[in-house]
Amino acid sequence: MNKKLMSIILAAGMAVGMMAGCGDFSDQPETSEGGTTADGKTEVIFYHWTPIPEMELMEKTFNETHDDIHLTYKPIPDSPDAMIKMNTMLMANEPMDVTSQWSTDHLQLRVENNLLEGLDQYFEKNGLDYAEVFGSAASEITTINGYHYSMPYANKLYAVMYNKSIFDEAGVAYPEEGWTWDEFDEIAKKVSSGEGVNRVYGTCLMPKETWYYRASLKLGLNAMYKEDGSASNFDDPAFLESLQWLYDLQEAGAQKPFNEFAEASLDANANRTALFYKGGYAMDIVPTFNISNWGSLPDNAHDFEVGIVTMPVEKKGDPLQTMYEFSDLSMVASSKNKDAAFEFMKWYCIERPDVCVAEKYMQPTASYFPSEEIEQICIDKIYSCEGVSTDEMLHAFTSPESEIARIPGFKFTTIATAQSEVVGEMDKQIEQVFFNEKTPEEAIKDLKANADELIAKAK
Amino acid sequence: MATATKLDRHAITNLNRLVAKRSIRRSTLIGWCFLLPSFIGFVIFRFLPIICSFLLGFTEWNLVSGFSGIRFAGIDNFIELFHNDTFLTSLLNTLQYAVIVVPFTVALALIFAVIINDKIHCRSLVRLMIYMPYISSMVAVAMVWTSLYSPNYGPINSVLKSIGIENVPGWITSSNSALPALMIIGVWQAVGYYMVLFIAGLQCIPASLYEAAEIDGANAIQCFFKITIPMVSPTTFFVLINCIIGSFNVFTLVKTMTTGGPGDSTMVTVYYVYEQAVEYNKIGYACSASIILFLFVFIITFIQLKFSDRWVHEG
Repeated sequence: MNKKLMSIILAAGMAVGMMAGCGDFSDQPETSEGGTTADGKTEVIFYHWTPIPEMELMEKTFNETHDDIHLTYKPIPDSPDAMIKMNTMLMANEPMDVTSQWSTDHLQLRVENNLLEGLDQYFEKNGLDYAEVFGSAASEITTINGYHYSMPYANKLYAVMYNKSIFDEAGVAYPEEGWTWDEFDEIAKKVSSGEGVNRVYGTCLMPKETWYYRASLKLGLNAMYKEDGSASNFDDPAFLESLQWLYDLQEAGAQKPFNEFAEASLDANANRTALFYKGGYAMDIVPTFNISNWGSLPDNAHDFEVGIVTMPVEKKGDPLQTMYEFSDLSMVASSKNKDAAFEFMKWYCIERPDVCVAEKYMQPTASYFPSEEIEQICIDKIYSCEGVSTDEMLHAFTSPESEIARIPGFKFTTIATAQSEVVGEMDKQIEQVFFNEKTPEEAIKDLKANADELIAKAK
Repeated sequence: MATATKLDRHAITNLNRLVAKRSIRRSTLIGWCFLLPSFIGFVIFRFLPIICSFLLGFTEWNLVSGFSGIRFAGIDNFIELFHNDTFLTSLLNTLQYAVIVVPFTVALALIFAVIINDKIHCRSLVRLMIYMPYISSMVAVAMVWTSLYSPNYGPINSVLKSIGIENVPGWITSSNSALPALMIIGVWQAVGYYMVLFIAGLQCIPASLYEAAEIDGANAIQCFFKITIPMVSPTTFFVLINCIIGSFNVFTLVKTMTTGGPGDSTMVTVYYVYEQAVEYNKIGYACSASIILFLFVFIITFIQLKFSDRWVHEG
């Protein structure tokens, strides 16, 4: 065979190989471009970062129960780049009808750039009241310029889980609802024991994520900003008090030292939970999936009972509080099938929490269940775990807003000016406190100055 | 008859030239056919993005706003960069990293290469052990070294304490020692690759030079400085350039082990670019930072090339 022919064949082969590699051989209906499928169904394309196995039941159930709509689920690998990938696809008008975001600052960024569709008209068309269905806390957070741009599908409310065996060995009584942060500290110190590598700590809270808990619960929505959003709010004494609280707990030997986190990758929630189930520490502040999902994993097999109690309060008699975060769905502004997309979102967020939310061991957001059967499936999945009292868990996590006030999580804000950068600056300062390179006062002072500079630049 | 012969020769020469030209054209075409897929890939995925990056460095652009959100910003980004403490710190850290890592890497790689080039026991095994870090996954490397660097229970500090050093460093948990900690890993990982290059360079040195030097009474150290180093200088030049470029591009270690902290003690320029682009969506600003980095590397490489004549012995 002469060289010319061989080179042409080889080059053609490489080109074909490249094209084939870029092709999509997934089992999709004849169009995945947000139009109508070959059998006449309206197609809804849903992008999310949840792996396919966890969404299979949802996709199958929806398609079986909807003759006129075909749902196509497309995952984006869960990584720090997931949001930028999704935003790039949104900008490029990639066929997409429903998507999600990690936090409210992402939501606001997309709304500012006209990437998302307002939902109020669809709620009205379907005879639904947003605040009635999802609660006033969610309604407030998802309202931007007077309109709702996302629907929450899974709540994260926080409670304290504790290892009853460690408490029994230390001779410490179990905490009771209405306990205070001072009692939390005392208990953490009393149940800590041992020395060196085998020391059992009272808590193993991730400092970068929990140092602001008490400030956030005290100050409420938009805690990190002044009321008009023109500057940061880190000069409020609540922040220094909150930081000092966790720092003192570490200095007292009751909180695992932050300089020991890296070697065991304890910055990852899953790894901290694994350490809890190995008996490495006594208490943690967690949402439901840490208990019912991760607590059931074979790698986390444990022989002790887990107690659940509501979060502490500042002083005895104060109303109960918990931090409240959620995951949500949004409709893409360029969607070709908006009514069908809303139909899917309504089904996902309200009508079938048993196949959509319970599979993730998170709490449904709707204030009611469509049927008793669905409610029981959710309870059995989300709040049942060996060694845990379902009643205790239900009470700690599902008491209505009138019993336990839901305070939006620190990063769930309605003001989002330079939020990512302020949080980055916050992580930097806090890290230095828990590595004993700065005092809490110095860190808060620097944080306030730098955060204000970032907010001023962003404005 | 003579004229006809002359004409024949002329015709034959012309014919030969024509055949040669066609042959060259055919070879060129064949070569391009082989090169084309790779070249197209290079242009689309490397060259064009570099050009776009240069252009975007002069704009203000939040990725989420789409192409319609691109605003020309002139040199505002660059002015802001040089007033930004974190960026300036990242430049300084990157320079510090390069100034330490490059000489140590090159020196160690050359020393190991000289030792291994000699006939020592288990030469292949030793060579493999030194080369292994280079081919190991950076994430796995980061995890292992994080454990080694544990300030309270890690083996390194345990050994230091056992030999009487009380004030052991905090390594990646301390601003003072975090960057040196990364430098150690950087040298450890890169030495193997450059050692292999030096071994190849050493094997090109004629043995007769060493024999002549031995006859003249030169010792091992003199041979090393008077023969080995000058003769291996082309390889050294190549290694230096690559090592400098590699050290300016340090990113994975920082991302997996320290994320620029504690504080900004390990913030390097590439990580700063990543942070601005990926986490804060400030594409234009990130591109301008990458232009600054490119200029630094370009200037250093240009200076090296310019002065290479003075010390690179082409033999």
